[in-house]
Amino acid sequence: MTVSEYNESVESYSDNLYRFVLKNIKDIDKAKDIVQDTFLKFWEKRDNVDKSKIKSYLFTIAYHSLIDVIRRDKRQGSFDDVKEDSYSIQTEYSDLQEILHEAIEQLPENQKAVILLRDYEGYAYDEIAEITGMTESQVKVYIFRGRKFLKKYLVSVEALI
Amino acid sequence: MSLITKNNYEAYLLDYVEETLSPDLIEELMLFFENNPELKEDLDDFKIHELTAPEFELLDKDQFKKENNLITLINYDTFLIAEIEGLNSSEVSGQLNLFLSKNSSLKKEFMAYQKTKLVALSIIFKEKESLFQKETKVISLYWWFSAVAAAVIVLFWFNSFNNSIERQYFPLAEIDEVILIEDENEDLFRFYVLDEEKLQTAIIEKKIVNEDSKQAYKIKNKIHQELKTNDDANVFASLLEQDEILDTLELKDVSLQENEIKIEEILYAENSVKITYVDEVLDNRTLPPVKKKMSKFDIFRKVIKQQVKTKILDKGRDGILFAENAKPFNFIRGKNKK
Repeated sequence: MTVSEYNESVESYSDNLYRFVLKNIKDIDKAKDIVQDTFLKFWEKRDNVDKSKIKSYLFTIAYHSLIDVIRRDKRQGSFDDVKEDSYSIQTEYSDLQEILHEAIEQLPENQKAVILLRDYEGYAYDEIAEITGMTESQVKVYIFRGRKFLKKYLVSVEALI
Repeated sequence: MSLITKNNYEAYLLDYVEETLSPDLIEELMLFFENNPELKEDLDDFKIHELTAPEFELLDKDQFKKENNLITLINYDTFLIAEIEGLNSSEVSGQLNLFLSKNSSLKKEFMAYQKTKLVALSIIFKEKESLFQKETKVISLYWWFSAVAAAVIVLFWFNSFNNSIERQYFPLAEIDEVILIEDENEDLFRFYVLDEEKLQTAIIEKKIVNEDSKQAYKIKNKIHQELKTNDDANVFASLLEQDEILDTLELKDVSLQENEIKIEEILYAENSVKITYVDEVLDNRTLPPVKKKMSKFDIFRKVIKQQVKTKILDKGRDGILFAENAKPFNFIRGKNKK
């Protein structure tokens, strides 16, 4: 892999990777560290990475890093505490999406990760399985459970409104 | 005599209402009421109190039967999620639509599931610049030669104007002295340049074949004097043996002159760095005898290649441009010493 191809990967995937990690870990500094480490590992192994699977490779490295961090440090800050304008150029979204992102924060880590990979990155179940090291069936179960929870959350909030 | 009397007519009347009375007894019961018109009201009362089943929508029991339907009121959740996940086949989607049309109250649930799809936030990683790697410039052989030629011309021109200016680059090695070493078993052609700073010397060692079939080494005169003895030569040899031998040269057909490194082929380097160089191994059994005379280009190329391989030089830190076929560029600062 040439330097140019590596840099193209940075350009194409670093934002998505950062978003995925940040949404999971809710800590800007740690999220940045994980992204930096991920690309460092990618650079070191660049000649062994299949060019068609660069994105999956990056997400795999990042996912396992963030799982390690979460397990090592259970003390997680609230995503709400993070100033949106420090990481986002889009700070306005619909009420529904606000509620939904609120609901996402309530999901268990594994369900949250697979739903983010599914909805944000559009990965298929087998790809999510490859990234997370879960079986495809586990991925499906976690997504189904997650959706049920989100639906229930939305319905309950709508009922209150 | 009639079976029906004022004492038992009610029992017959109940049977009549429940339609279990035989036609003969019905006829007899009707006859009884005609003969006793004061009791006929009881007959009318029973008809009034007859219960009428209220009209209500019956549940479709089949909707609970799994054997009849893929989608039931028990498992519909799974199919609703599968639908928004795009996992249902067209056939199953059709069944789901049919199911929802029969159970309109569940359409809201389906809509709620549709809303669980996240819309990605646009988040920018601002430290992206730190992730980029710098391109290493690769210079083609043509340009390399051109650059070296240009550098040599400039240096000659510069020296012709001002010989008093101290050179920026100092020689790594030069050949000043020949030491004969009686080691007839030695058949290797070796070329070593060692760290001048650390050893306070730089060495070019080269075996030549003299007329007496003895081997000679040309060693720079800055080499410690003790190296002139055999014992010290052995010490020196043991040092060299640690290095990987990359080249041997068939010597028998190589003349002294051909194998000699000429005085103008003095090596220069930008800084004093350790250079260990041994040429590549050639198998004399399979290859024809090689008459090999190292050009300066060959030497530099392989020296640099070896240095980088052994991590003596850092390509990035030392700024060495290293082309695919191992052509050093800015390391080369050589010029002829006359």
